[in-house]
Amino acid sequence: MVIPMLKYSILVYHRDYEQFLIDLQGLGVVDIIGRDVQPDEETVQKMHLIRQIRQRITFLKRRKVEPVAAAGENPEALDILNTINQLESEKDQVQTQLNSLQKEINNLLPWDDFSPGSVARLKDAGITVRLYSCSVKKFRPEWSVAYTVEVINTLQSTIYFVVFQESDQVITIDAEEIKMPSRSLSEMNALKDNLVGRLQDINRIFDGFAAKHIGVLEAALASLESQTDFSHAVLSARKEADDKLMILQGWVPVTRKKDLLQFLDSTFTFYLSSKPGPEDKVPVLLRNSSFAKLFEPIGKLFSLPAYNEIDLTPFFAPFFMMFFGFCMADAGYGLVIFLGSTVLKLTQDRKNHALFSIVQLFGLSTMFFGLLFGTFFGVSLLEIESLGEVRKYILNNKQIFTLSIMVGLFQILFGTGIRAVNMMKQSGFVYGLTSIGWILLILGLMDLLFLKAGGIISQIVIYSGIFLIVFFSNPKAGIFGRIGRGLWDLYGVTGIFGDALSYVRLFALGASSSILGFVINDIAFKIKDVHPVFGWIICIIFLVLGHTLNMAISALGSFVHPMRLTFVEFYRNAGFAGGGKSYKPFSTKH
Amino acid sequence: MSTAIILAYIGLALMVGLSGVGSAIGVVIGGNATIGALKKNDSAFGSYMLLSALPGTQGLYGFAGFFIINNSGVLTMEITILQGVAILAAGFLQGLVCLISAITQGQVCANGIAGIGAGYDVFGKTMVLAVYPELYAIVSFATTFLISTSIQ
Repeated sequence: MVIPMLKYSILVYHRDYEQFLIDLQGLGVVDIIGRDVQPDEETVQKMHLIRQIRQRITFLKRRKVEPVAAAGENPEALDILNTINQLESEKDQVQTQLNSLQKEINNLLPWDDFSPGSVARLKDAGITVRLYSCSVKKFRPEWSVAYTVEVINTLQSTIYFVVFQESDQVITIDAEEIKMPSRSLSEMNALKDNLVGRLQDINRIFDGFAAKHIGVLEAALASLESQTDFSHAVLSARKEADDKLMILQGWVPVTRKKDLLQFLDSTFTFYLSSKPGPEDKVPVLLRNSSFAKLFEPIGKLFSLPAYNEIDLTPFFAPFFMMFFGFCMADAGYGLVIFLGSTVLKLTQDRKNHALFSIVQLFGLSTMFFGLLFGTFFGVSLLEIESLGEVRKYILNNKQIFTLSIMVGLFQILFGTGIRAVNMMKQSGFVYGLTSIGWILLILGLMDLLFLKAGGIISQIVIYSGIFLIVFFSNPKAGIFGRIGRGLWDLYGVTGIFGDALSYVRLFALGASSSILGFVINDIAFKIKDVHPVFGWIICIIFLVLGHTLNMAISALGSFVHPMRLTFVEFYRNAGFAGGGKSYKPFSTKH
Repeated sequence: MSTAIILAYIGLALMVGLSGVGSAIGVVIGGNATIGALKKNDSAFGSYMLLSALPGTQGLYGFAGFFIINNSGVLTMEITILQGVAILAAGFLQGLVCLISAITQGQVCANGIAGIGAGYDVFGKTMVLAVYPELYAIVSFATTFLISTSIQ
């Protein structure tokens, strides 16, 4: 259910306002209205800093370094941030230098290590050293006769040679001349080693931060978030009576009302409370039974309900659990899922208990449907003679196909029933009649198409349904408006067939997962016969790998498709609008 | 060899072949989008992986369809021309639908992956939208199942 909210308008004297907010933040129950106001310059800077710290935390966590205690070190978060920023830009510069240096080294490699100093001394003596390269085919032996030529290297059909040019000599050689480097190869390699060493140093510093100081950054992040939240709260107040009176408005769930009132009474603060009006954008907080609560995260993947809507979580939860099992439909897989999640629940951290609990339910549901459809790790239970009479309770494919559509129609009817109750509660009895009409129409059509047992009664039910749809789709309009809208709504009967057919996926997914399981067994036992000893080993490995893979693929489909059936078919028929905003109390971040 | 058995096996080849090709293309579309999104946000790889895997199921439906026909007992030399044509039709329709369904599903997933990469919280909604095109692959598989039961 959606917890009812109360709107509180609190009056505070301007001098007490800051202390009042500090106390209110500590209390953490009021979702302040108007916290999305334009922030001041200081808050904008803090928000920028928050983004930076978040990025840096992610950056350090990505280094995957084991955390160690920072003995005696207690750096400030800002210092860490600045150091990381400086080192990051230095690292980029070093990397750029290294890239261009590597290019130079690659160009110089064919010439081997020579000293540019010797080249300069030769130039002083009147001899210019010029470097050339060309393909082996283009190289002319007569160049060696006309000039002083020394071939240095031949690599991949390219020849590298030097011409010693005397001061008055004119060189005409059809080859590419290469610029004389300013440094020798050994100098460049030494420089490269320095740069690589620096990069390693920078990475070591980063690793040190990642091991010791992520906690410092996280604490700073929490503190800054609390501060910006506080600044927003300060700005969201309305000023009255020459700015001497601050009026703060916020939402409080009725379950936390007592805490707030205790605080307000203890500080002698004046306040007014009221119920939400139709124009209010009320935040949403859900409260459900321990079973339905497990399914809240699934519902939130789509949308929270609007404040004045029924929370559909407890209504879709049993269906979702059932659909998961219907799609997996293998008792063996269900057993593995159930046992696996039970072991994890017993051994892992408490914060993941809800996740393991829902997986346990999925496992139980999969076991149930696996037994009903007669599949255990891909083995058909119908073929096991020892099961005897029990086998007559196992459904065949035709029955499962029909069952999937029947289950779908039942959920559609259930959703339509919820919509009827919802409309009657919100707008009045007459507004729910059109949904009642839809229920009658679907039931009548089901009898007419499948059961054929109702005869004249089902015809009466169908006509009653059509009457209610045509005349009560828009109770506010005049008679012609009503009929027009009603006829238009009646066209939606095609959607009912589409919705019902959509549930065929339950059958198809279950069938494909059990077929694949059967095929894995078939191949594995054929492998077994290949070799008397190794055949068994390979068979077992193949069975484990094959069934694990099939289970993973089936689990994905078994989660996604019920999600679609819930959010599209069920939600639409239940008249779910959604779009609710989560309740976010003004509180201290930890 | 009778014409009917040739028609039936052409149908099975289309069924498994086209749906397999569709899935292969679909998961590649998702995979390519994942590589792009990883450059922006590599912390959501789990979501990318799940979305990329979705178009992989059409190939399995193709195989499951083949299995149902294969186990129906009609693939013998005594197969009638009606059964052969029915299997050819089932294979062609399921293969074609699964091919296009997997490719289009891959495109929806790729857009969702790009959205998550850009920092939008659209994983759940993409999951729901991505299974829209899959319904028709499922319907085609169900059709194959119904055809197999009607020709036995």
